Amino acid sequence: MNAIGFSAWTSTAEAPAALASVVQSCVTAGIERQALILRLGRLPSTCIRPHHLRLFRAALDPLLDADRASAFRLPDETVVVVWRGAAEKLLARALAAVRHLLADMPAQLPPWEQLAEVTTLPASAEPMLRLIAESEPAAGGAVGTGTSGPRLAPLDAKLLESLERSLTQTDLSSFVRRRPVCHLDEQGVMHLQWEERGLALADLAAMLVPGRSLTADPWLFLRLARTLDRRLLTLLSEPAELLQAPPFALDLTLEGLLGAEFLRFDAALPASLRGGVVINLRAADLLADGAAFTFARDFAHARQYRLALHGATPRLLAAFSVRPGAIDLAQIRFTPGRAAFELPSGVDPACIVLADTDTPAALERGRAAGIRLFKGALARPNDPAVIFTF
Amino acid sequence: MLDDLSEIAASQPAERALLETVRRVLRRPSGWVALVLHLSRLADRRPYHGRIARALLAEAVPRGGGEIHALSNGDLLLFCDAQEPSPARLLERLFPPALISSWRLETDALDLIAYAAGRLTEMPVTPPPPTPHAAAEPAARVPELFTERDAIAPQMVAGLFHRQSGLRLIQGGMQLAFRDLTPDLARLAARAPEAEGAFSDIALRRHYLAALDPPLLAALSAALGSFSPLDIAAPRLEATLHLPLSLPGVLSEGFAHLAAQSRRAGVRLGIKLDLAEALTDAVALEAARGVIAEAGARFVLAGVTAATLACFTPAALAPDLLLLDYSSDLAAMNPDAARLFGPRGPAHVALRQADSEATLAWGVAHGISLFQGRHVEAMLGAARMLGCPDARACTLGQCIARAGALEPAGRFGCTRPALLDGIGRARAAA
Repeated sequence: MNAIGFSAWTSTAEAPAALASVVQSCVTAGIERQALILRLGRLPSTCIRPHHLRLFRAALDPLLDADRASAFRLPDETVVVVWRGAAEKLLARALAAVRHLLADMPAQLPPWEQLAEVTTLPASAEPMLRLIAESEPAAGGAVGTGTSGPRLAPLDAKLLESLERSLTQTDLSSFVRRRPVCHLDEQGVMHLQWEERGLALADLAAMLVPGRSLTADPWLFLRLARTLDRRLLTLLSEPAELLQAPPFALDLTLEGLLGAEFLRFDAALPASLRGGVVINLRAADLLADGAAFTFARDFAHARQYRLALHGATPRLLAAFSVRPGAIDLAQIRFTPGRAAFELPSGVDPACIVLADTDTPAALERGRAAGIRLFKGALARPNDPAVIFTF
Repeated sequence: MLDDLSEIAASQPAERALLETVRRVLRRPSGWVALVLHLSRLADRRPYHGRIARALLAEAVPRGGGEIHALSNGDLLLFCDAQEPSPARLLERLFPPALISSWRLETDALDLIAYAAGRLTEMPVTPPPPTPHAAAEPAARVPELFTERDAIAPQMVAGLFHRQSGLRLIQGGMQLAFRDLTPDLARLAARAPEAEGAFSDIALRRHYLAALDPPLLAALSAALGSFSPLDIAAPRLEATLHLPLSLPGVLSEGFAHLAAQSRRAGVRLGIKLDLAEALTDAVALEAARGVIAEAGARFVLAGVTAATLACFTPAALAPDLLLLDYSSDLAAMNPDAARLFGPRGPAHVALRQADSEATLAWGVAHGISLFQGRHVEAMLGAARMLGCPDARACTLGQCIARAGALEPAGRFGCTRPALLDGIGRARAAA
């Protein structure tokens, strides 16, 4: 079960994903829900000891009697209760109990407005998803490059060389992240198509080269990515990694795809996953060596892998042959602020994945362009285990 | 016949093993197939060709038993059970059919013997030197080059680039259309002996080349009005100068400064972005295009090859000029002109590597009138020598080499260096 009911108050590991799934289902299905956000993490640490948390739980208990109510305790000690329909009296009782608890606390507390907020979904889906993302400090390093955050200095050749040496001694397994890519059906339900497996580059950089960005210099990053490919492929070639794995996607360089480690990975791939693995390639990498790409494409297709282009914009899609048998898929990023986008004529929307689908606006604009494959905070498979708790 | 070859085979272990296997299977040829992948015939053979082909062949071995031989010329040979599915069909998806031979030994034993004899009698093959594109195996080291410690001073830039000319064929004659600066990889590598192998790594090479942007831009700014070969405003140049830059180079202060200078001088620049470099950052590309247009410069797209055209339509980027690399592969694919040239047609395409008259003829047949390459340099050199009173003291090769040099040392021996920067206003027959 993904949702964290109050009976499982102490567990927070799955709460962000479960709450995000609820938000996403509100957006895709257009179902309205109420939410109470209680930012306990803003209280002094002396006020959120385990016995305090038990008292807060008891204070919020009445609200769980609301229709399809569920509660989520996020890693930063923010508690979110979500329910459907009117529950003014229950809400008032819960809030009164929380206020009563706070009144008894000796420390200086933040204003009530900063601690508690009542909001409505899906209207407030965007701030809710932001709140979820910000509650997970360890997940700051999303799969891939990640463009948000402060501008960091690029690597230089000297650092890259020492980084390549360090990587041979570093256990990368804790840096592997999984992000779902989902298909949105006509009923507004998200279905998992595959999960992207990649390294949290920002986290890796923070540990090995603090203050530097691994991706700021694209060519040094390409060089580094080859080393990372070899390590990741070796990791994935372990039988336990592939056993019962769902279909997945990997970011690879052309050299990684044509390397000895990929051949070992290919040999280890179970028959059930044959045809279910997507190889993500960067546009600059494949155009830097067109002959290698042509060979790699034919090899990948012969072994039943699908290829996905990364780093293109809707406008650039017109220049690539995005269709099954050529470049099978392309991933474009949603750009906030851009009113709408259209896919160039001749590009089949079924071949396009819209990344950064973190807001209802992104989902809506992708849908309007005919796109059905999404990646981002709102692209989470609707898990029956989440839904039944409502 | 096979016995006669034993002595020769002694010095070639792979071929000796092949000989033994051929002897063995020919004792009972029934049920055996020999499959040869002639990788030695592949013009641009890379390490991954052999690696992947070998892995695919190896899959066929455990099923029905068999052997793989990797010969010293790069060919791979598989002996397998004729009853088992052959990997030939899989290989045909990756390699041209002409590279694959399949012989049933019951009937085609002579073909196998002839092939084995050919391998045993040919000279041992040494691997070819890596080409600039052959970056399949990364350089072991990542040397630090062109940083603050060993920065390239603007006055050294001229020695690190060479220049070619772009020619427009017109009715009954030719015109100089553009000058094109290209980093001289050999000289760059010679300047940094500790970076051996690094320039053959595509990623490192591009990183190092981007470090040339600031000194190149500074050198061009400094040369303005100097009447040197780097003087973009020199009236005798008569043509647009193409500068190779990276995206950060286009978006730099140095380019803004040079662009302002060139605008004041009424000079048009062509900003040459390599296709792969242009696509490192789609957002920066849009910004760079805006900067180029604002500077009154041309957006010149380079690095377009026959292999590129298999997956990409460069005309979709709407460059002002597309530099298309000629190759036998390009001629063989006979690209769809409408797809290649886009709505603007071949007028905005220049064919590079125009090294022969046949290449020019191919371009003309496809409606192209702009050319760059060794044959073009020879045509321009011949035209220069026709108009040069001191031409008797020089060879055509010397004249071409001097015209490509940007530093005085490279032009040593020419008594009329002003002619090297133009075509002597001569209009030679095309």
